[in-house]
Amino acid sequence: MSTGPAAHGEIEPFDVIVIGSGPAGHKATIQAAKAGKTVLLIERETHVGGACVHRGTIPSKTLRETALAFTAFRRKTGEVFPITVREDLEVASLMTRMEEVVKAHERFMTEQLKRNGATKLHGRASFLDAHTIAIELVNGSIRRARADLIIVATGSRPRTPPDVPVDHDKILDSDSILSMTWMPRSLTVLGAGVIASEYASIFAALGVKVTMIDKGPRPLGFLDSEITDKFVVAFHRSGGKYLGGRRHVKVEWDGIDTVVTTLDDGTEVRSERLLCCLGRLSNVDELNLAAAGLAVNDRGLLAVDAHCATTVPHIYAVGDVIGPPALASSSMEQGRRAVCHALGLTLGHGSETIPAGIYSIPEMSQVGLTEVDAIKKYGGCIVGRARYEELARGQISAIQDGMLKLVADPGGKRMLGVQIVGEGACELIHVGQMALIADTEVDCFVDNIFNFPTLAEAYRVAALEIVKQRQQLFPNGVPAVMPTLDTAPQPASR
Amino acid sequence: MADSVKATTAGIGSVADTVARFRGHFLDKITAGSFDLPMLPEAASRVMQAAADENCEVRKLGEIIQRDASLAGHVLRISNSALYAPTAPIVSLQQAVSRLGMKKIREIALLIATQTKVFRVPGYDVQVRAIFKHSIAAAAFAQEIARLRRWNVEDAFLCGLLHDAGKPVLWQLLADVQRDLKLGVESNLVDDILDSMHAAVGSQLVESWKLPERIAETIAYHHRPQEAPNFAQSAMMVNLADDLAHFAVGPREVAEESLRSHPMLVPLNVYRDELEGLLKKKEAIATAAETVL
Repeated sequence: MSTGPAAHGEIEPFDVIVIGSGPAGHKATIQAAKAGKTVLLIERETHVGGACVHRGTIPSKTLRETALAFTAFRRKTGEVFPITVREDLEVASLMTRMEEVVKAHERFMTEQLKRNGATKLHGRASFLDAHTIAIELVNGSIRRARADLIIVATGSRPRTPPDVPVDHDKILDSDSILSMTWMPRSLTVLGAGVIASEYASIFAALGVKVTMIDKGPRPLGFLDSEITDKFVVAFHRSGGKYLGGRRHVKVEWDGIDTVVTTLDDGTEVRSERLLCCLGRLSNVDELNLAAAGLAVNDRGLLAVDAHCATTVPHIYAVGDVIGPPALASSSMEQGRRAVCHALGLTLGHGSETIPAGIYSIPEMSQVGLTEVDAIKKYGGCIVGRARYEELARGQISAIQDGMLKLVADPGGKRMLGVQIVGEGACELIHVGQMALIADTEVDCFVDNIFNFPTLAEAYRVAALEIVKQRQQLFPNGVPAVMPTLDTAPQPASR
Repeated sequence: MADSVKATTAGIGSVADTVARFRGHFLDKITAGSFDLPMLPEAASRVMQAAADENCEVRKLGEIIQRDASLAGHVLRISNSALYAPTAPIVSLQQAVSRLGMKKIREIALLIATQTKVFRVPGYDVQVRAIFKHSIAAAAFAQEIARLRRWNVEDAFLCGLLHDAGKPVLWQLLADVQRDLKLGVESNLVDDILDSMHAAVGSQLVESWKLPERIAETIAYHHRPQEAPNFAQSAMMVNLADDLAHFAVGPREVAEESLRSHPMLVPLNVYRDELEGLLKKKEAIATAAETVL
């Protein structure tokens, strides 16, 4: 930016400037415009929507839908139709709907901006001072704008470790993976976070031989291990391989047709393509944060308080740029809440129970405390499980690897968390989320009636298991004061 | 065409008659698609040498193929032919190597070297060599733009490499027709024909090799990218890469300053510093293109 031509013209005044039009920035813009403010939304790409719409969330889910339809068709028809993914299939042919989906979403976002009277400017933003932003347009000219409230929502990008030679051709990252023209026969995935697990399982379901490599013993360390174990079993069944507890020491294209990944235990993994998913970095480099009196913390993130305010009171930061959870869902809410807080608008009571959804195959989702968290916090817990194969719906739909886990307090009454793996997990989780927010007792699931046959029945099965354990542990009723950490009943063994 | 075509041999008939015959003959060849991409004699001997040498490193043979528009084109054509009958169309050189294996690629290379028409058009050698060099530079620049925008790098390379494939075909074709009809065609007419037809001919050529529609369309529209019905983005990328290649290795002179206001920068969302990054690759790309020929 500093090398660009000098700015000309007036400084344009706005009430609010939002930098970045992904889920966080878009919602912040709409909220501010709805409050009657003049808003300038700056986006560096040609289209609004950010990485969510154009580089990851939505495109990958569209590919996943194809993979899912494919595997479900085989399973649900009892494999009577011998269908396989044609070798050398063009990736684009699996995502024919993607362009439509992306365009529709983008059109919807753009219309919403227009309807609310926000001004959109295509360019790259950087701070000139705490209130003034310079915008470099693609044609090289510079405009300046000023506002009393500035929201930074610039998102994140894939991190490329120096020893992984990402060329976006043979060695790709999550921004370039979907640009592959033909389906590789084999794919190595470095990392085992959300993005890695999603792509690894999607490509495995499409018949690609996928090897996932990560230092963790199992993927997605923040999830309940019973849930991820189910995921790994399913991943292995679809031909994938998870190599945990290892890391790469060398990644190299052999110049002919293979990417060779050497691991610290000497293993050599050979594949046609490699996907590097080793974390993401905040997009702050071009912002010239120092001019606004801001700096990133030691993790390269913009530090914010509970309301997403930075150390400079009128500058807020929302979405991926502030780090975890970095979900589209939480980012949208951060954008909305930051603006409400800054403008002194009344905010509803927001719950801290944010669900996490992983669109892998099978799907995974969780909300509230896991068994491990609950034991840490309450000294114990009672867990109820429902396996999909025990449910009529699960049987009918031939769903494998499905499980719902309900975590209750040591007294077996209060719900603390839900974890689900299997089809519909990301939708099903909301029943549990609402129960948690309403502080419903576990018995609610036993006493009330759900549709039959549905997967939601899993809540009832798991709740019944908790009630049964509770009756065994406390035949005379749950004591009003629960035992202390040392004397608490041991949680049910797995 | 009327004034520019002249009968070189007496007794052939009226000028108008000659023009009509020339046009008919030329268009017949074009519409019949009975044309092929000729190869430079040195490329033919180089690949022959590499493919025949059992000890030649496969990597090297791969590199030779990658860097010659004609060779690359023929490898794809033969990979997609009934001879190798792939289960699905081969859309990239990488994929051809991966799927057929280097042994078969070696066979194919030998086949090409022995069977492809070698380019022999006296008077046009210089231009043809310049176009091959230009194509390599365009492929390299297209690849860099694709990397920047996170588009498919292989496709970009191929589109850049083959964007002017129509030119050598037309030169050869014009030479053949002139020889058949014993006519001479003035050089400004040759230029006109090349300018107006090379994109369409190149596109038809890659289509006949069963390459994907997006590559054919990109080539067809690389001089008027915004009109491309389905793959405008790719055509715009090649349009910019084309001019960057002219800037780096010619044959047309393109001033660095004019690239800073190139009409494709805004639609491709290439910011100033990103363009400067591309311009900085001039020397490296020029050197690489030079070493091939």
